[in-house]
Amino acid sequence: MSSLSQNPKKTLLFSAMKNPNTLKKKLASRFLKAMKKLKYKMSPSPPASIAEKKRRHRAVRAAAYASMASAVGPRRAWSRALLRKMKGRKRARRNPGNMNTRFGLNHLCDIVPGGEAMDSCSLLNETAHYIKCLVAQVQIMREILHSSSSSSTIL
Amino acid sequence: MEPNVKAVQPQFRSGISGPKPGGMGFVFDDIHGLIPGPPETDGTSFTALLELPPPQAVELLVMEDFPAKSMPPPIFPSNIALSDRASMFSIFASADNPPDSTNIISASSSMKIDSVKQEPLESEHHRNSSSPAVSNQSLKSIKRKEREKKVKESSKKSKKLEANEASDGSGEQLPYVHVRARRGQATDSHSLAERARREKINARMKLLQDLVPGCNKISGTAMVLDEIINHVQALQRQVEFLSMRLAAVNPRIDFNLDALLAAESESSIDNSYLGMFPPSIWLEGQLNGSRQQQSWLIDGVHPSRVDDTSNFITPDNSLLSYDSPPNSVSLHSSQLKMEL
Repeated sequence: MSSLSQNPKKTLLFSAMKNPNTLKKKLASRFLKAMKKLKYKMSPSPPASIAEKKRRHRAVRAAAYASMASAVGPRRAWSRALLRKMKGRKRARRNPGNMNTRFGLNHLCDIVPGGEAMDSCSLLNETAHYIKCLVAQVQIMREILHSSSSSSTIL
Repeated sequence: MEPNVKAVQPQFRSGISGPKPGGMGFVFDDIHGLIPGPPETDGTSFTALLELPPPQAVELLVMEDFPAKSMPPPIFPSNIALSDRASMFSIFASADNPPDSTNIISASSSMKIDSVKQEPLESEHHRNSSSPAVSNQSLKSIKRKEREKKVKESSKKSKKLEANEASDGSGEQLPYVHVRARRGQATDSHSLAERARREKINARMKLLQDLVPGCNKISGTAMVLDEIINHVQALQRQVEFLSMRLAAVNPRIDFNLDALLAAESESSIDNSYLGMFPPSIWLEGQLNGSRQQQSWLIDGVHPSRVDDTSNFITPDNSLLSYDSPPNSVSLHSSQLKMEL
């Protein structure tokens, strides 16, 4: 009986979300495009001031999250929330009486984007998908770094 | 058996047209006469009905002149009895509850849309009988279908459906879907719904446990939740640091898609520790300078929990450690020893 309740979620996970490979490729292409765009804005030499470094860092991070959210699309609540944040719109905090039913998911809803306006069940769903996408994004960024730094050997 | 059946049949129509307790009592005696006859109808009335393919079963319910000769299956007499019993129950239900009959009728419209098999049968019945008989038969068939559904639904939870049906046959109404709770649990609709929700949430927690490494051994949802939160925060911190490195390296990178994707597909171990030293060395100064500003670089996306940077040496990012410089250097050297 528990398998009956689990299987819908598993099929949901595997059908609604892509395989790791296709997800990763999609994320990678979007992220690389975003980084190309960013690159033209940056000055070619390493920036002198710390403020400049901070600005660049924030831009790259925003590009990472934005590309992740747009690759996933508006299908997921967390990606919708992220896109809303990027565009600067209002929070859309529709709260169907969530605080009563939370059972200790308070920290989680702070961390996962768009976590407040969801009930516990869908919050856990979104967390699972968010973790998957985060892992893929981190792998992509690492691989970019490694390939670029290995190609340009500074030893 | 057949004369009994034929005597019973006119009772169908009268039962539907209006509630007649006397008539129903008579019919009820007929049922009791019918019940001992077939041996396998003890508690398996509907399951036996269900064994038959639906068109045949509906025909059984509906047939006017009961041609026993034309029916192929050898267990036909018992099935007649079963079908009559079923139709008796349907009469009881529809006679007792006028609002329920409206439910049946509304369900009948939906059933007609759903069941393709029923349509040719109903066309047959049209040419055979008059309209009240048609509504009668459709009602019976729909009631049988509802019974089947109820059987299936309740059998999901427990095995007590036969007793339920028998008690219903004794004259009580059968309007709603009876969902049976498991043994020793409350049967409120509220608590049932809550229990369903809790099961759902537990199922999702299990899946999350599979997703987060190292969560399988932990028992207790609070600790698992903590682990999940830690994992998500660690991932977000990794994104932070990687973006910082990328921002530093960015002007030199040519984001040539094909070359980069090809490079990604290579095995990354020797790349990784070759690439580890140079960026760490010339980024160290930047990292030291920027670590003080880390806390307010992290804005909006997640709350600042930068104090536990030692947490960063998790197994999944042992390749890239952004700890204090001596630690990172020692890690690199240990990793070199590992590789060699």
